[in-house]
Amino acid sequence: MTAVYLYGVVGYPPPLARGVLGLGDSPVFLVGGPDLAAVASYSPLDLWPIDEAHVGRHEAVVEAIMRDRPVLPMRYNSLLPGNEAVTRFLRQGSRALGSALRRVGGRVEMGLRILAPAPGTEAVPGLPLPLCVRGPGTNYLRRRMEEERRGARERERGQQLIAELGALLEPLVAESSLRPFLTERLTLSASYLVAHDRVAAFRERVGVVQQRFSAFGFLLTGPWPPYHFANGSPDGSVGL
Amino acid sequence: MVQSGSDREATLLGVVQELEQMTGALPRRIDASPDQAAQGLAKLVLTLIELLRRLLERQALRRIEAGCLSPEEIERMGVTFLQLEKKMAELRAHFGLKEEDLNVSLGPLGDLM
Repeated sequence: MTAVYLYGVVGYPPPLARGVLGLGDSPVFLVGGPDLAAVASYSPLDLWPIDEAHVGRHEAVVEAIMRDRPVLPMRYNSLLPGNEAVTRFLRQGSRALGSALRRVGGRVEMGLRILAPAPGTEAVPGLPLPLCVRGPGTNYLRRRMEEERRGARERERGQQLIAELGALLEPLVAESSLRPFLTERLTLSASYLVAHDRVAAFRERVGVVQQRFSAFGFLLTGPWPPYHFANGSPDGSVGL
Repeated sequence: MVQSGSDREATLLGVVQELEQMTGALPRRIDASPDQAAQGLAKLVLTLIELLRRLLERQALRRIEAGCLSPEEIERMGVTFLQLEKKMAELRAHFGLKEEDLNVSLGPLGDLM
C-alpha cells in the first residue's frame, strides 16, 4: 500500500524547487494549502530502516528545503496513509503548526555537547584523619571518598561552566533546551534556537567559554533544522 | 578557539561512548523470553542491590566525615564494603553483566544511578 512520507511542514506558497529526491529516490512534492503544506514523497506504508543512509536522506531533504524557507522538521518515519490524511493533519493542526513555524522562522538549531575530563587518580587533600590509618577496609573507604570528592569537584566545575555559558549565550539565543549531567562525564547536552545572522557570534562566544574551560571537550554542531523546537509551542504539539 | 582535529575526534568519541552508555544500560523492560528471563530478572535485582550498597556506602562516608566513627569501626566497615563489592562483581560475572549494565531508566526523572 502506498503512503505519504512527511519531511516537514512549510508555509505555502511558493511551490517547491524541482529535483529534490526523498527516501527510495521518490520525488519530493508539497501537499496541502492554502497557508500550510507538507513536504512529502510517496512511500510504502512501512517504517524505513534506522541507518545512516536513510536517516541521512531524510535530513538532506529537510536541509534542502531549509535553504529556501522556514521549515518545521517532522520526526523520522512520519507516515500517513494518503494525501487526504495529510490535508486533514494540516487542517486540524493549523494553529499549532502556524505558531511553531513562526517560532522557528529565520532561525536554526545549534547543538552543543560538553564532555568533562576523564576522572583523575590524584590524591585528594583534606581527608579525615582516621582514613590515614593503614588497613584494607580503610584503604577501600579512602579510595571511595577520594572518588566522591573528585566527582563533586568536577560537577561543581561543570555547573560553573554551564552558568557562564548560559550568561554569555543568553542574549544571542531565542530559546534553548539544556540537559545537564546526562551521564557522569556528559556535562551538558544542549540545543539552541539561534537567528541565522547570529550564528557566527554564537560560535565565537562558545569559543570564549571553551578557552576558559580548556580541560573540557566541546562539540559544537549545526546549523541544523530546528528539530528540538518543532514541538511544544504554546499552542500544543505538532508531531504526528 | 578552534579545536584541533584530534581533539575534536577525541571529544566526539567520548560523547558517543557516554551516549552509548546511556542507551545501552537501560533495561526498560524485563526480557520475558524463556532463555533471557533469568538474566533480565537478575539485572533488575542486582541493580536494586547495587543501589542499596552505594547508598549505605555514601552514608558511611558521611559518618566518617562527621567524625562519628573510630579507626577500628572504619576499618571493619571498609572490609564489609570491600567484600560486598567483590561479591557483586562475582554475581555480575555469573549473569554475564557489566558494571554499567546495572541501571534503570526512570523516564523523565533520569537514571536510577
